[in-house]
Amino acid sequence: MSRERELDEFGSIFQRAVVPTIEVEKIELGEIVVLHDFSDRGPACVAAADELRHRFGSRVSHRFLLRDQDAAFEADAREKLASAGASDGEIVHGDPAAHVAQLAETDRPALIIASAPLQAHESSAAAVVAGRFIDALLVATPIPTLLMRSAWRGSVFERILAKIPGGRPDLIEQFSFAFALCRPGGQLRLLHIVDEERLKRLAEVLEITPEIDTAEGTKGVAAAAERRMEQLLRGAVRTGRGAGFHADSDIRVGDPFEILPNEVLDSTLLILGSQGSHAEFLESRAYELMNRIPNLPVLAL
Amino acid sequence: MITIFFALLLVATLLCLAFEVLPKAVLSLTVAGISLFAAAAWGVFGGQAHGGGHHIPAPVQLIEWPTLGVIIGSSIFVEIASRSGIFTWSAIRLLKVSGGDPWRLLLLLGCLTLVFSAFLNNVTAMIIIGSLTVVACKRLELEARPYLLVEAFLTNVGGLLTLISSLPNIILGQKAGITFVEFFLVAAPYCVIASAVTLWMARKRFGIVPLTDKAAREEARQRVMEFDEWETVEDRGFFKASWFVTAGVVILFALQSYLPVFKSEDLGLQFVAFLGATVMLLLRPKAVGDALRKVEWSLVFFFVGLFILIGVCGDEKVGVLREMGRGVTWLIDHTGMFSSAILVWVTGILSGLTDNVPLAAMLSKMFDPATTSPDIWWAAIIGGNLGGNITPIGSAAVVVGVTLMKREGIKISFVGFIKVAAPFAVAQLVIGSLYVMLLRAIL
Repeated sequence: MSRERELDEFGSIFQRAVVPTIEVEKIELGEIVVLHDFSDRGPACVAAADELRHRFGSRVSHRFLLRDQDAAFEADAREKLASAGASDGEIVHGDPAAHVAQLAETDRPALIIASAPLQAHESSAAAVVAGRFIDALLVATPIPTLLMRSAWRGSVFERILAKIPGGRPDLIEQFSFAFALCRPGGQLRLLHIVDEERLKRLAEVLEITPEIDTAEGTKGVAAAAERRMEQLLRGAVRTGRGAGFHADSDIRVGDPFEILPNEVLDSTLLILGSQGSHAEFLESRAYELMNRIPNLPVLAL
Repeated sequence: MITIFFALLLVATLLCLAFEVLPKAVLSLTVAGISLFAAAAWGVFGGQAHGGGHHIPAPVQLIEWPTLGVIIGSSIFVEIASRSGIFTWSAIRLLKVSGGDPWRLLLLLGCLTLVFSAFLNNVTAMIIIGSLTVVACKRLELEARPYLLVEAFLTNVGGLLTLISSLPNIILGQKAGITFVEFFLVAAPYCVIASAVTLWMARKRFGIVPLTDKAAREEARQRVMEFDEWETVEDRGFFKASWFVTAGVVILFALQSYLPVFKSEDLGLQFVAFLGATVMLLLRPKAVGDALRKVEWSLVFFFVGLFILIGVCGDEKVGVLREMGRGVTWLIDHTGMFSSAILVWVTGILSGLTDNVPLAAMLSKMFDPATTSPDIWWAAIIGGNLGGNITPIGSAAVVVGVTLMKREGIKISFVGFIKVAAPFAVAQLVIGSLYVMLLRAIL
């Protein structure tokens, strides 16, 4: 091997060894609100809340949202709350959307755990409209929301897959939640997908800027972003090593809709960012992605 | 006539090496071919090339196989060991210990250079440490030039530390019958003194001082803490095993001349080198192809040709080295207590001008181990190692340092380098001269 090549090789080895320190925020889950729908997902919601209460010392309140007064249905609901392990749960009357707004503006819990989709009930005074309520919830509140989408058994914080967005301000929030929630001895996988669609759109933008060579410009931006993301992920993995769980990272290039469903495999929780704005979650690809992967619990940030 | 012919051939070879007319291996094999043909034509080998009742061709007898064995075995060993990450890992650990303070960084990188160049070949040591230096200086916003220069100067000092640290050591040390431990015990004090002086001079010359501001110290510390040594290690099991094997090989090198069986003349240091290489290959059997490819075969064939040329020149009938030896003996006899000191300068300057390997090979043939005093051997060893610091092309490690500077956009001319390097080289040679005079008194 020529000396020049050896210099290149060792130069890149040491360059690679520079790993930025990720200053994750300390996540405090002071108050957790669990929204019930009395489906078979209820116990999983309660179990997740209990685990977090135990680990974070959180106050947990269980709620069932009921639009209208209906004594018979209410009595039934109380019984179901009790059987779900939330006998201290409360039944909240009124417009669910208004309640969610209140949650977001006044109560501001650190985390909402919701059985999703919150199902309709047969009672005429049914609490919420199936599925749509979850949409309203996600739109109305920037509060991190853990959606339990199946009757999950075991800890959802055992094997976490966090889909890391590229260069957005909520990147650190995503790392922070992933690190905070992963169980000691658990596994955390940080996955960034270089979205080819987005790169194409970038190319279109570059096309109207004649001073930039479109192909080179796209390639350059993509390569630089990938390098930076690789560093960030390695920094995060390094931080994770000291946090008592196994962390690794990966960068994949392609269509997230094809890649992500194949990556979740044995994960117990998927963390999805809202690409910078929680209010846009519904319109974001993250939301579409979530719906492509049924059953897996999702933490929407 | 025959003496003049081979003397001219030798001088022409040294000049061609100095001016890099041809790749070294090509040149030495060409010259070896010419010398063999001429020697055979003059009947130089008549009746000599026999051993144990079997005919052994002259070229085979002229080659110093133990030296080649050490070079090849060590190359394979180092190549596989370096894949484990033990060298890059250690380098980053030490960088972090410096806390990013410029003066401590210089001290620690200097020490690391000394140690690495003692156990690796000087070029590999300079490539590893120089590459780290460039990246670290960028992170710390320091000028890389002083660090790279000091490292280049110290690779040649570190090359003196052990019997296997450099080619002149292997050639001259083996011929003089110096054991690994003896070599280290004599060389280490010189290396420590010369390194301390070099670092002190660098501090003065380049104005490298410790950080005094607390905030600046903290910022520097944070910047070096961003280096993660484990990023350079791919397989932790192999990494740990490599540490054990490396330690074992160093211990075996040290004890080889004392251990039963190992001290047999039929085994020697080359056996230890190959043992280390074999164990590493057993740990990484799939790396055999790469490891063998990365042996510097051009260097090996350079040696093959060189040994043949020097061997022929050293033949009694040819008499070139005999005549040169007379000149050297005259010099030694007429300079009394300063003889070894003068030899340090002569070999130092000559090895700065041309390749130090043929110089060492010639000296090893000129000196008789039975009658040459130890300080003379040491003078040749010290001068042969240090001469490379005088010019930017004086040694391969210095060339690597200069290449790294150029890559970083640091301009340094031939004369500019000599202006900076000469005080360091002179100081090291002065200390070397005083040291061999001391050795003359005590050995």
